[in-house]
Amino acid sequence: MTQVMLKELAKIYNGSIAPAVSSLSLTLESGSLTALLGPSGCGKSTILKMIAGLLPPSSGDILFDGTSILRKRPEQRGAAMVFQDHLLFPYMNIADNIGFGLKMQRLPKSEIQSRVGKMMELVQLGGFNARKPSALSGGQQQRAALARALVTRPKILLLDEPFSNLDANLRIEMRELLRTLQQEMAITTLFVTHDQEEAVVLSDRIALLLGGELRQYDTASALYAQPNDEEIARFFGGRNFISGTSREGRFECSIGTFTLGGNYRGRVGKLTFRPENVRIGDDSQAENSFDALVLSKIFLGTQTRIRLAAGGEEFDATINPEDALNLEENMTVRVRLPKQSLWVLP
Amino acid sequence: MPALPAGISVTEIDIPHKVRPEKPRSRLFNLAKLSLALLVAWLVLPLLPLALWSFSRSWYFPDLLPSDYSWRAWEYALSSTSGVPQAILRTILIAVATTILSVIVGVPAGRALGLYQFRGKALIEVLVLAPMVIPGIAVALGLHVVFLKLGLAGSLIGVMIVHLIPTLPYMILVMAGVFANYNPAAESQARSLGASALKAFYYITLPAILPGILIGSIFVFLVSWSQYILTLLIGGGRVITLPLLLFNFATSGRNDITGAIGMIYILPGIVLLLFAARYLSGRNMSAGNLGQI
Repeated sequence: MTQVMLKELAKIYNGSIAPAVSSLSLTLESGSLTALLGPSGCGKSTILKMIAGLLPPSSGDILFDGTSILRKRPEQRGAAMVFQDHLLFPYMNIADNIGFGLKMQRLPKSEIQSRVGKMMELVQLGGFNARKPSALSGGQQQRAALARALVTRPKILLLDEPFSNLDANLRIEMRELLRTLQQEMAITTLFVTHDQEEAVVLSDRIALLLGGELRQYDTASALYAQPNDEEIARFFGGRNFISGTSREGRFECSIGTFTLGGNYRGRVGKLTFRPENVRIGDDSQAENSFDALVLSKIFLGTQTRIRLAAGGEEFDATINPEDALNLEENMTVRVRLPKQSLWVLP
Repeated sequence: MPALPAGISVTEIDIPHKVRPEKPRSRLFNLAKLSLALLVAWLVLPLLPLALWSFSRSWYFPDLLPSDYSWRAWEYALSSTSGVPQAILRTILIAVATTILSVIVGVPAGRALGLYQFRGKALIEVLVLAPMVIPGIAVALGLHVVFLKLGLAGSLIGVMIVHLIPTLPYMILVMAGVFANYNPAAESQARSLGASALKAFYYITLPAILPGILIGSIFVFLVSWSQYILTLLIGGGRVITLPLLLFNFATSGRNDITGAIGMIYILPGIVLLLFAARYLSGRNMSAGNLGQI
């Protein structure tokens, strides 16, 4: 159980002007799993390498339980990494691979054996001791790599897109396994990913990184419902942005006046709401109801997306495919926006 | 070259057999066998007279074979009065020391060239290759002056150092090829699991590059073993190695002793060739990577 704190951490690579990471401050609560989410090339891996000690930061500090670890060498930090390539050592069998970290700690052979054995059971690799890494499937290799990091009981587990080389079903299995083991062992974990869904499913909190900068650090549901700005909203699949003014719990725009769920202290800007929260065909006179024109209808599989227009603004709604059956283009429908689902961007 | 046995498998010529049915294919196969036989003959036949000379007592023109045989050339060559056993030991000592030095220099240099991009890399690659193109004697004449001033001329250590000139390119090229296919992230992985830099090298890097080091060492040993001009110039006639002795006897017309020393002289090449063929071919792509830079 280790609390990890990054303080104004920055990295500027030699010969480049733009920083790869600029002034990042982040506190990872002890035993939590944090997803570091962002598009590729936004400095996520650089952050992991700085925590692991594989790359010196240009400025800032890294604290484990309040103590700076910047002067410690990588092998003294207790920051175990798992990479995208499993990086199992090809000349060692699976048991020796998983036991490598314990061997480096000079533990007695009997203890290494018993801890490796237990770990292999946990990751469903029991009986694979003598196999060489090349004799394992992709999922088994990544499980072995995960076991190799976990068995050392690291202060922090650093995962650099560890499942992105696996196929979809295997990826879901691995996420569940990781989450179970991480919670059982209560290891502070930082998980780098560019997959928004993976971050949402897996983590306690998400640190959203865009262009080397931390843009929002929050729970997944807060990132969906209360994004800090339009770019973040769009990153999480937000599609509806309506310009207007908010005052005293109301939002005025060309569609009309909406009652808001909270007090936004006179933010002027954009009203946003998730497409899945739009109610169609309630045929009610309830608050926040208005007439809209159906522009198009796209079948998405589990949902159908309806493009609507009202008051010169266009927006999307996603509804059950069955409910969409009786909707036609150029039809006028009654639309309601529940006030709890409305959010005004600051 | 030790890589030869791999290349000899001419039988594996790639023929699109759907286009060409059985008959032409077997003809080609015979052609391959023939060329293999020619190659072996070309390599082995020149050695036959040498072997015959070493066992001959008298062999005069126009006889096809010696008229009388004896062991005396071998007896003399293996006795300490000839200086051959001492020269063998000295040559081995120099070749082994040169090999160790070239590993110490060549592994880091090969890593830099194989793994990293840096300014002036192309220039350094040319400089590394230069000793293979520029005659060693040109360099050695200039170096001789420097070595005289440093007190290295005429010494064993001076000869070892000068042997690095023709041997280092081989080691660096082999190691650059090895490192071009090497993923340094494995070292980062080991470090993050608690291995010190030294342990990461020992447990992770070394097993991956060892076949390359062995192949490079074979090259270096053989090139050092057969060095003549550089040893003569820098050794100043005081460091007598086997090739120097061989040349002495060859120029003095003692064909029988020359034959015996010659047989000893080619021995390491054959032994190392067989070793490379048995243990190294196919295990690692290092030799194949020679052509990568």
